[in-house]
Amino acid sequence: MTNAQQPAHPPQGPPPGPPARPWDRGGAGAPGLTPGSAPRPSALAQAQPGSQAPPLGRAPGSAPLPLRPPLGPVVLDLQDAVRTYPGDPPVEALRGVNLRVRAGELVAIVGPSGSGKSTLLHVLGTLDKPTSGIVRVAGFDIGTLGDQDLSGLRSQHVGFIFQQFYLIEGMSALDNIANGLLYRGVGPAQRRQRAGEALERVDLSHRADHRPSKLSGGERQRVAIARAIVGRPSVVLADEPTGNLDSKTGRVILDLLDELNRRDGTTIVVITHDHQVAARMPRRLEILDGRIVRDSLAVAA
Amino acid sequence: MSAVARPIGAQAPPPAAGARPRKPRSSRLHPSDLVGLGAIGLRASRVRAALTMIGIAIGIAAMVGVLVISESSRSDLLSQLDRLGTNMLRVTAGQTLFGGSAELSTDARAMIERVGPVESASSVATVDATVRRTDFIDEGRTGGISVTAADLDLLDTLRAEVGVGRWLDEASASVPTTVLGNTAARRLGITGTGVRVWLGDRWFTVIGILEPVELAGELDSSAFVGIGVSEQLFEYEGSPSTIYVRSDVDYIEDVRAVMGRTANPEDPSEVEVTRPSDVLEAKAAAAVAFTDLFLGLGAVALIVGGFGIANVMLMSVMERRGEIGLRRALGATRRHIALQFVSEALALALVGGVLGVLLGAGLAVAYALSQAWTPIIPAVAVGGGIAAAVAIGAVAGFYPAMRAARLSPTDALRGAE
Repeated sequence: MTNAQQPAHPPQGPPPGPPARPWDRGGAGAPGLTPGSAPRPSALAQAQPGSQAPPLGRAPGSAPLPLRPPLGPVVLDLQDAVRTYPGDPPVEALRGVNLRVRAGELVAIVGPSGSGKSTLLHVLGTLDKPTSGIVRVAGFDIGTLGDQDLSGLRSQHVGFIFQQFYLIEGMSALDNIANGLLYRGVGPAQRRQRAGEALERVDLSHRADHRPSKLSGGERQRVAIARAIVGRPSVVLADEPTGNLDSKTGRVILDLLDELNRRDGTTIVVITHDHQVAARMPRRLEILDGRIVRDSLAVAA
Repeated sequence: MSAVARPIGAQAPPPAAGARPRKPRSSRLHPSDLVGLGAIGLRASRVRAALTMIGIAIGIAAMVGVLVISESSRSDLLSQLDRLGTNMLRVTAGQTLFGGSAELSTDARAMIERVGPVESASSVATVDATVRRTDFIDEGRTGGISVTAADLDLLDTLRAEVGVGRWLDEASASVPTTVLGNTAARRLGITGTGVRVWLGDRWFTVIGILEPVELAGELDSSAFVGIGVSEQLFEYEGSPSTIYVRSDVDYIEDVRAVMGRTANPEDPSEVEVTRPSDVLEAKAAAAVAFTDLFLGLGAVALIVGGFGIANVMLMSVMERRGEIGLRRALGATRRHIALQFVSEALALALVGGVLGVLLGAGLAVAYALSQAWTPIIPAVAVGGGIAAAVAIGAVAGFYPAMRAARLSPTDALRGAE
């Protein structure tokens, strides 16, 4: 990955910090919010002496959070996406979903079980293809791509966070995070270095050498989040990220996602059945019977 | 993908999705990372990995062990043959048509020496006498020891060695002295020279004890006396019972063909001619046959071990659906998944193979040393053993790897829930 290989955004001042990507905000309209100048988690922690809560996320009454940055180009674009599973009768999991998510958004897709939200997650993550309609992820029409290209697309543009964490036992937290770059052909030294940086962003550097089994549930999910963001993907898809956690730990994880979105401009889509989780997100989509039935953005607009 | 692949003038990011390059960059996996991937399964379930390896290790150990042992024993036999020579014939009087003992003519030895390719010939004759420790021992209790009149050059022809003392010479052959064969000495309980034994009807002094005679084991239970003494004391008339003949090895079959007529012109068909080295060569050949048998058994063990690997890999694929799904989500292609599981099977087989080679060679070397052979570890056993293990691993890992690769990412992630 070099700047030469990634199209740079129209110059709005020199791109600070990490290599600019199409989905990074230019940062001109939000001084102090660019990834390079954003406060690091450790800095946040130091800024809250005496805080008993984990250093991540917002402690009540702490310094005001940075504003959400302006939105970038469209990252996820679904036009009349249909996914039907063959059978007798065929199961229509998605019945024409129209959806646009722009870079920098933090979106909740909420719906009861059986509403098609898992299928939607798989389609958004290019793990599954629509039966009809158009699905564009990071600008690529996934319907036209084969398995190999979809794998490439995932390795470059999509980060996943799962309810079950899916950390590989027998591997340190750091190596689990480095796995996020394994299929990009990044060398081991650079993988580990960037994994170390990602681990710092979820404020878990002190757990770098721990095996997943030695970590608490919340810590495991933070490791999984670090793995999802280590490659700076265009979009992070979180599938019930708090589903296996108690409510207090769940709040910490949601705070972390919120912070990653505000501070680094990471585009995050959270799929959940929990309206309380969804309520914390700036934009909420409700899915029912394979259709988007409500979009808070549309209501607001 | 490189910048060249993009449309000209596309340095600025394309604002619309449609203008983007149509294909994303492909996933890549460094071949060196495959090593680490192959080791994940081994580290994750060590006991299972160890048990699987044992299957392969036993097969390889059996094959390597057999090769080492057979090679060591064969080289021992060959060096023995080399030392003793394959150019010796043993000419015996045989039996008459009516079952009695035939006799070679008294000048048989001289006649044989006149045959062109014959290099040397030495005769022995069984003498009608017994040897005992003392004259108080009953005459019937000979212990199976016979008294043999021997030519002075017998040891040269047989390439036999004296263990203790010395062999008969001109002087000692005409006085009552004897040299004992190895078995004879053991049966009489004699370990040194200077002891007297009761031979025939008088005391003989033991002046030497032979090492076992490898090409003529029948002589080990003999007490040797000189021709002169035999003629004087035991009415020996000069008709040898056996003649050992060394010949030019290229003409040995021709020599063999004329032995009957030469040694007993009156009844050539009664003469028996054998080639003692044939026995050793037969032993070497038999060893090869056994080697093939045991190699076959080792191969069966190896194939069983291969099924063990395939079984464990299939189980591992089923158990690690979640990991497969995760890796697909991280961008692994089907090929990457297949390669990971094949390398895991290869790692299992390779470690098993190396352990097997070490185990097999170690045990075989210990056995060879216990047999006083020079241990020989053939390179083909080591290389072939490891290559066989790797080949088995690749074959055994193929199907499970295909199963893993064919798993759809969504099924893999769902199946693990």
